[in-house]
Amino acid sequence: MAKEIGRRDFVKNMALTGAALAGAAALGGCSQSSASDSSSIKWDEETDVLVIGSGFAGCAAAIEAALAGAQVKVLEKMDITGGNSRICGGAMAVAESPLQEKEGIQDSPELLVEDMLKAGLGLNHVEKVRMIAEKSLETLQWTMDVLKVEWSDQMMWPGGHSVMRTYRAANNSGSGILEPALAKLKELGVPVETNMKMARIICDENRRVQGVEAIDRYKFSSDSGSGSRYIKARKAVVLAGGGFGANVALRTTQDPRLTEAIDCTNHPGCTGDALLEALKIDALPVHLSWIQLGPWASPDEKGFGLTPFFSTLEGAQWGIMVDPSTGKRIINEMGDRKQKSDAILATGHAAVMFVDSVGIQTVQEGVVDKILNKTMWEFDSLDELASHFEIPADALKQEVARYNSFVANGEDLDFHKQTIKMATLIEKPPFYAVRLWPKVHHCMGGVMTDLECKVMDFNLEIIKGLYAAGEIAGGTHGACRVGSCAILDSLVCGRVAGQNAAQEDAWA
Amino acid sequence: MEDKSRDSNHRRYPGKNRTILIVALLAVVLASGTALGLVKASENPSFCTACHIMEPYYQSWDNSCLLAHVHAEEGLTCHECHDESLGAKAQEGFKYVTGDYEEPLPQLDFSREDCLECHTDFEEVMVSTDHGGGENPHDSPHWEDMECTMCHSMHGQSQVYCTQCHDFEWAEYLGENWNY
Ligand SMILES: Cc1cc2nc3c(=O)[nH]c(=O)nc-3n(C[C@H](O)[C@H](O)[C@H](O)COP(=O)(O)OP(=O)(O)OC[C@H]3O[C@@H](n4cnc5c(N)ncnc54)[C@H](O)[C@@H]3O)c2cc1C
Repeated sequence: MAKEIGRRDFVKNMALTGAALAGAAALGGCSQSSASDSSSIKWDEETDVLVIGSGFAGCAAAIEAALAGAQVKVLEKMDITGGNSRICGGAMAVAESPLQEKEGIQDSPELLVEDMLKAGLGLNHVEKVRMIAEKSLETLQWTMDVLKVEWSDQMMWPGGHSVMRTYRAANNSGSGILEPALAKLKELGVPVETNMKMARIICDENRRVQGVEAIDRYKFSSDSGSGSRYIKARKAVVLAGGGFGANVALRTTQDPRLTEAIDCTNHPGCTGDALLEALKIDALPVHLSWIQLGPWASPDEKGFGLTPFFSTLEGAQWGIMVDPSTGKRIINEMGDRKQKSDAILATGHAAVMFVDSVGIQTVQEGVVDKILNKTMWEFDSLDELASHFEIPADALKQEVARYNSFVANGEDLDFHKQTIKMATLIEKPPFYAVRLWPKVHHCMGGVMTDLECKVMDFNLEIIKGLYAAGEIAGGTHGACRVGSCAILDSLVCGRVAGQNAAQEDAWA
Repeated sequence: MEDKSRDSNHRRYPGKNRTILIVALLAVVLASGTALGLVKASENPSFCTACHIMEPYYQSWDNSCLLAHVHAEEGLTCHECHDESLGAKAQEGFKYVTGDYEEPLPQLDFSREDCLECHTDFEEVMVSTDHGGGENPHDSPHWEDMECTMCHSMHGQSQVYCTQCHDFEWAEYLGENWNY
């Protein structure tokens, strides 16, 4: 399917490059095609705030706008709602949370900012990061009070965080947050229309966004629908269309290494078309070429699969990851995604991550049963493990001994694993191992937004009536998003966008 | 003045009017007889192939590995799912005759509720596909009320949506009407 999308969108992307360049040359000016004809448009329907996309960012924006009294409508191009939000792991970082307090973990929004900037190589838009970190606790509370989300009482510790701070939805899926959000929208009487694709943003000659042209009864599988529908947004359009990880043609224009040969964890509709439409009306692109690979993905299953429930968490914490050609560790297993992906890619082949029978006990119930003999294998000895993956056995045993000495001394002299003090010796068979090879996971880049989530143009001015939140908005995560910070980002910014959109003066 | 002339018309051609009335009545009787006949005939799925574009849909019902045929074997015909009103048929016929249709025909939307009208006990559906190991497609952690048509297709290949991200062993044992 990815291949098909790729070809179909290639022409579009070439047009995009042209449009972006033309926009840059003219330094602004709402694109001709959308601005000039807005007065002649016959609107089929209207609302105050029109939200594009029904993931976390879109739902949060729609809920807040509706709570502020605006008439709201949500458009979703796919057959089902939720995009990446629905299929994601449902893990959200929160600083100074009740669970941290219970566990006696010292944390602060500043520390979360620090972790995000470190992973992001300082490319992050700091003020945005700060806003997200500072609103994390309030947002958690909102999910509980307003959405009635059920969170697990066990936190988790994804790589790149200096302390344990991540909440997870009780059902281990983003749907545990999304379904309550959709239920809230239903309660508020906000229509969420599926199979309705925003195909063009319409603005007037003063570059005020007025609404959109949508494709009615849109079918993603055939990339066609029954015709255009013009929807007027009296106050604002909120773009919450997600990233473009599943669009091979587009992502390779930004990072040519990310060809079809690299699998992707995203939902198939993660093709960036809302983003492209924003760029066509001169929204300023930010960091589009920073596309994240998930280093915890298994080449032995499709997409995100189930292996990451081991390899992002306990596998990394209680195990080690080695290059099978040398038997040596290659990176801090609890490092951020960029460090780890780069390290694996540099070897040119899948890494092997393994734990012993003590480490495996820490893995969440049910996970091992589901992946054993599919993406995970059990071995009675390190020799057996080495032979299965063609690892030089002596080198591997030496490396395990070295790592065990770090565990015993509470310090990882090679890679400074931050959880080494909690780790246990890797010595008790059976051993459990998976293969890891990165997959395209997250787009850090997107459109430029200010702290009110208003979209900015090539003049660094606001495009009036246009907001963006979630993965479609760029800059927050810099070069690398830390695990469990995207849900936080999408919910915080979605809410901010919705609150502000509802306050806009209506143009009509 | 006008009224008067109308009156005079009446008076001048009383016999002709009666004939028209009788012919019209006869036409109505004949037409409704034909319509009734058509309605009756249209209950037979092969009637639908009177429009050649319906042939593949009919074939999928009559003799195929597809879900439409599974329903046929249970004795169900087209109208169990498709609108059987005379108006709908007349409209379809008109569109066919005037060439006002797209080929292939656009896919119709059927909601979960449509399917559940007959498959009333969803719990039963869930239990029937519970092979253990938490890999039940009808009890996914990602969806509460997923549309049936996300996976099931009546007249075309069905597609396991979940296998975009998961490798499920059970998917390999599905019939030839499935892609996975
Ligand atoms: C498998 C997986 C696991 C993840 N796990 C986590 C996790 O545990 N914690 C975490 O913090 N992050 C996680 N992430 C990242 C996170 O899920 C996403 O970044 C986040 O959900 C993005 O939310 P969003 O609302 O911006 O976009 P999405 O949820 O992708 O929603 C965007 C929606 O907009 C629709 N759309 C796009 N264009 C148009 C258009 N033109 N017209 C109409 N609709 C349109 C799309 O179809 C889609 O439904 C994960 C991601 C994946 C893929």
